Amino acid sequence: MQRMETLHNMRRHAYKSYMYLIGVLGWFNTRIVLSLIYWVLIPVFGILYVIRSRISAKKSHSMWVDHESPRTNSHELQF
Amino acid sequence: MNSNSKPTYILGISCFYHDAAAALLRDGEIVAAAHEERFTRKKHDESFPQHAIAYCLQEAQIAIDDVAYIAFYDKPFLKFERILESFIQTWPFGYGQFLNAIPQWLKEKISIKSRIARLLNYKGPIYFAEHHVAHAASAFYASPFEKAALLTVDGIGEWATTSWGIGDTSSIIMRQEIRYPHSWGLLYSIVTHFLGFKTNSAEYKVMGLAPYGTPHYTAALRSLITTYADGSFKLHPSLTRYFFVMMFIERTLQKILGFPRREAESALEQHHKDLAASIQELTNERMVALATYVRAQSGCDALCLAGGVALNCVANYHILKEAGFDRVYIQPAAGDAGGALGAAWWVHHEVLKQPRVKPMAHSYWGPAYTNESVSELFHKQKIPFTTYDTEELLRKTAQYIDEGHVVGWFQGRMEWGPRALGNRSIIADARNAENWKRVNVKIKFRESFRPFAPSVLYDHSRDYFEFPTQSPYMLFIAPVIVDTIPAVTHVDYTARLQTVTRTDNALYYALIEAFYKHTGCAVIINTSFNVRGEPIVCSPEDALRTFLETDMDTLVIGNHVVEKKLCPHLVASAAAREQKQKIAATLD
Repeated sequence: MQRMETLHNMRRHAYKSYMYLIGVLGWFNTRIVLSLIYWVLIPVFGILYVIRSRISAKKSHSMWVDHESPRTNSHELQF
Repeated sequence: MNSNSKPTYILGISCFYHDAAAALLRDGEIVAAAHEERFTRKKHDESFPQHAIAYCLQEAQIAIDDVAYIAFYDKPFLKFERILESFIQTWPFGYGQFLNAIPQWLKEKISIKSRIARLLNYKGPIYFAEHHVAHAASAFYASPFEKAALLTVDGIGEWATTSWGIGDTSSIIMRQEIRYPHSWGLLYSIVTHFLGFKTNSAEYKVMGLAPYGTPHYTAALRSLITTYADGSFKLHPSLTRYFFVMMFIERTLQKILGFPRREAESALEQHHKDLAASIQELTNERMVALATYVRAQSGCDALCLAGGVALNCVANYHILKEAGFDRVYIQPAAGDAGGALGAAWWVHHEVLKQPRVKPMAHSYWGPAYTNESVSELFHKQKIPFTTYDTEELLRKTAQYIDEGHVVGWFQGRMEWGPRALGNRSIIADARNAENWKRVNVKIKFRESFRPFAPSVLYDHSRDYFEFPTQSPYMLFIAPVIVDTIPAVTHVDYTARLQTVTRTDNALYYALIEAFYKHTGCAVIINTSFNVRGEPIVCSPEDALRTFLETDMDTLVIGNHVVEKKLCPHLVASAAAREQKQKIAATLD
């Protein structure tokens, strides 16, 4: 159980890192960089996203999910 | 925090989406709260609320260094993560939005912490509340309830679009949420857009339009929604796939509804009204289902509602009537602006672990102006005016209303929240059916279908309306049971009710009471003191300008009265008014 949770967390952190990579590259803020991100990086992450969605997908009878709070230990953080 | 130490000031801020605002607490009590739009005169202004903050500090007579904590109303990184993930979901159709949004986020929105510190020259701690937690806090800590269920429903925060929890004494615990892209607020906004109105702004027009229609399109709209027995819901991929690309959503809706999107300002056909009726009916149904679930899960008999959808007073009425709660509380700024107040309270109670002080007793937390400053303005502008003592002022104003005048009523501190509640109001006689059209077209320059709200003395409320409790913030509709107040009776025989007690607003109560003594009618029209496309007036200058540019007959600011007929040389020409009307329509 604990191993599963660790794997899940690792996957989530890896996924988050990819997301923020887009953000960091976007900092350059030129049309070429932004276009590259959109047409090259995002489709790659899209595949990861689809895989992640398939793994976590389950037949549900509700759209309610538990509120995870606090997401971090510090109220001062922006995430 | 104790009597020997300095008071603790917490400044709450909401901005960068829509309806920026600031709120200031002193040891947990509200000192001031205001929307940025009122100062900048830009409706739904989302920019950093520097004017509202300056006002809050001025009201408390402190400098920014005296503020112990700043609280922001959402978590920007979580929001950014959701936006990036949305671009994956909508790829390849969101390219244009990607090029627009990402630079803006990276330049301005992601570095909010350092930006706030820099803009305010502030060196203290800055905290970030989750968006829906800020909403929930804004309702619960303002409410008179010791324990209550909390339900927040809006367009979007970080990930949550709907959430519920429980507030108990000085803490709130959020239990469950429905996440993006399944958002009832966004669905309502999509229909608002399809009906040719501005999203995040004109949703209330759809609500006002709904009673003119028959809900013929509920079945069609239902095909876009999956609902579950526990009140939760899921939007169809044909909507969520293209959330950022309105063109595709328009196509989807056109396909299922059988007519295209209405162009803004074009004629409203019956099918537009029917669509408004349909989305409103589904909204009532969904809000009741959500609230019923929360009632069962929480075991509480009191409910605090917040979020943009909580400004839908028709749905609120259905919740009050059908969801099984004995009491329902909605804070006057239930939308995003209220997040500023909620975030500040969240720091006070959740971070600093301080006990609750007292509930919010009224909504008047904005700036006030003295009689002297107003008379100075009138002298400067060469406006002829008369000054009365308060008793005579009330008697005279009641008489004006009875004679058919439309009166600009400007008193005391400005309201917090989107509604004018008797301090920045345009008031008129509710018994005169003609006033509906006159005030809409000649004074507010707005669509003639839009209804007006009544202000009624609470002691007489049951003589006119079938409503079991108070509605001080105009956030519930009520069935009208008489035919003597046609100017505030909507076509479905309901009205968006404001009950007034002496405790809520003593002067406004006294005015309606004077009108009641004069005419036997305890109800007047109350609409916000603004014209279409502009925020509610903030200062006497704003009020005077609006007065001169419209067909309003009388202006009352403090104890001073200006009659339009006595200053014809200052009145805007018919051509200027027509121009104003055109500009208003584009700004709306």
